[in-house]
Amino acid sequence: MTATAIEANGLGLGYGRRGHRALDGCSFRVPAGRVCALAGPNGAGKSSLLALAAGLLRPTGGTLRVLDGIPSDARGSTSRAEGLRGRIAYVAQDKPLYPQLTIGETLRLGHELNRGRWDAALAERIVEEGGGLDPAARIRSLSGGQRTRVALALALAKRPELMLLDEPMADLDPLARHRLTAALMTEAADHGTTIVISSHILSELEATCDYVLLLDGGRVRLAGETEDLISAHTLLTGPVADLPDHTVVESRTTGRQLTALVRGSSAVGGGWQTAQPSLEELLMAHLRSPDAPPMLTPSAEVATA
Amino acid sequence: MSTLTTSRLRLRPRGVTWLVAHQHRRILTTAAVLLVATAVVTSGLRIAYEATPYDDTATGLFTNSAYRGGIAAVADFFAHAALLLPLLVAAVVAGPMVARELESGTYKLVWTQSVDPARWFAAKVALPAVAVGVVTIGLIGLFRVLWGPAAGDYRLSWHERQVFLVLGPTLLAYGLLAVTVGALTGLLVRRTVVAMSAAGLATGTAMAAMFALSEYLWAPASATSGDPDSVQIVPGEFVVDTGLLTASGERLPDSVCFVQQYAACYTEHGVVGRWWDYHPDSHLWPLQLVESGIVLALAAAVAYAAFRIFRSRHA
Repeated sequence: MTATAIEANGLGLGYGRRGHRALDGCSFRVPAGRVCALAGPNGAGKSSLLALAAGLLRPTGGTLRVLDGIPSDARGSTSRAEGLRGRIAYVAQDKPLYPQLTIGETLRLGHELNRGRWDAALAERIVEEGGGLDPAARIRSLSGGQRTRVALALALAKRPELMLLDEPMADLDPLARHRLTAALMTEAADHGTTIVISSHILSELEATCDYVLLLDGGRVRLAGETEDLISAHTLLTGPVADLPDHTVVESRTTGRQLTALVRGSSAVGGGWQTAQPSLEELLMAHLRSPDAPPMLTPSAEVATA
Repeated sequence: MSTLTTSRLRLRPRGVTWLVAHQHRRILTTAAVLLVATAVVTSGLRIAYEATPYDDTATGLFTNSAYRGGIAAVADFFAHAALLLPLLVAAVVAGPMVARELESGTYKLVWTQSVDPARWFAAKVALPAVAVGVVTIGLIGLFRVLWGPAAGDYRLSWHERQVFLVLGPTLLAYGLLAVTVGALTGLLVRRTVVAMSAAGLATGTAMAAMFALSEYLWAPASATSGDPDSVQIVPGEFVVDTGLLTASGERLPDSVCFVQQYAACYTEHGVVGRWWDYHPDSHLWPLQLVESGIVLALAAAVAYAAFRIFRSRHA
């Protein structure tokens, strides 16, 4: 088995006294070196999962191991926890930066708080590329997209082993999105960085991610290699009739035509047209059918002790 | 840029210390400028006063006693301003330094860098503590410069609360208490403006409570006289309590004879004189040290609580 970037075992996170659960009994594994899409609708628990992995929140149930450490546990082993923090980069959804600092001062912050890891040249290259941002410009004067660029520069220049990016591209124009995605993927390929990137724009994920984690209502619905998940499902189209003996994720009838997404790749007879679903079709079908059983590929399964 | 700064870094703050100092450099600079301005005004007045002959009315701009009057007025203002310093410190630490980070989410940026969040929080406490130490010790020294010639002024008796505080380490102790109260409040309240008010209020309450206790922190001296109608005190002595004295040596409160025919009342109760408890000048230092010790212990307890809460809630 390959090295593990993230391993959750019965992971739960409850908010408030009423015990609303952002995450509920999540068990999954993300192997190291993957670019993992964290998909799911709003409120699915994506941000909570990333904040837990970054060590900003503490689980209320289960365990979460990141790069073989426990991110929220700094007591007892301060030096190890500090080491772990240095190996993980996190960009929160709202891209928190100090508005009164300039871009140059913000990069200095990265240098000061990541001594020994900081790659100043990379940070400056990402900030200057494309937009040509002035290092003397204050963060508060930047547009949303420019702030994202600075936040990603901070995360990348730390040279992390694992990047946790929460809706990083939401406020970028398509060109900037393309450029920054390319920079991220280059980094991941060159250094074997694991990237977990959350988005609710499903089409955006398909091109870049080779691993998928679908969350819905605080639970894991799908986890595994994108290719394996896609090939484990078949899209059937044909006249309305009894579906063959497969696990049906979703079926819809339009007039006399029936479209169904089923588990299994074996050829089916009976006049069905078969096709491979796209990642978006696969994810949407699961989100529209909350009762479909979850599916984890072997590499995403947690070995239960 | 980075090569240029690295060579200068040796003498400069690094890591989280750099961040916290850089974030709050305006308020640090303002405090330094105000301290220097106070030093200039204070020493200027004192030098002018010392340089003016006692009976000079012809050559100087002002007479010697006019300078003394001015010094007394400035010292009076100085002492009252210093009284407010702990409240200000608590508000600044609670609001802009701690709660704003939690409110605006910038803590997420700092806590996910390579530095342990507890070290960041320690810098958020240590840096203002050092600044408060420098400023209060400076103010205590400067106040002494003014107080020398004007100590006889009724507004500047050592036992006036605001004067007492700025005469010794109590001001430093309350400043440090304010830093820890501010840090704890900012951590608990997490809203800039609310945290500022709450921290100011908490520090003010602590100061008021300690004021009520302060005169009991060192055993007062006692004295008696044969005249029930007057207290014979030397200027500068601080009378804590007084009452009527009977022939048997019993102490009665004044309220016993708050009647029209008080002379008859005295006879009736066998009053032969008056007693009073007071703090002489020499009690300034014992009172200062005991109160500073208590306040510093309180500050240490609040700091401990703040770090425990920080550790248990966040990383």
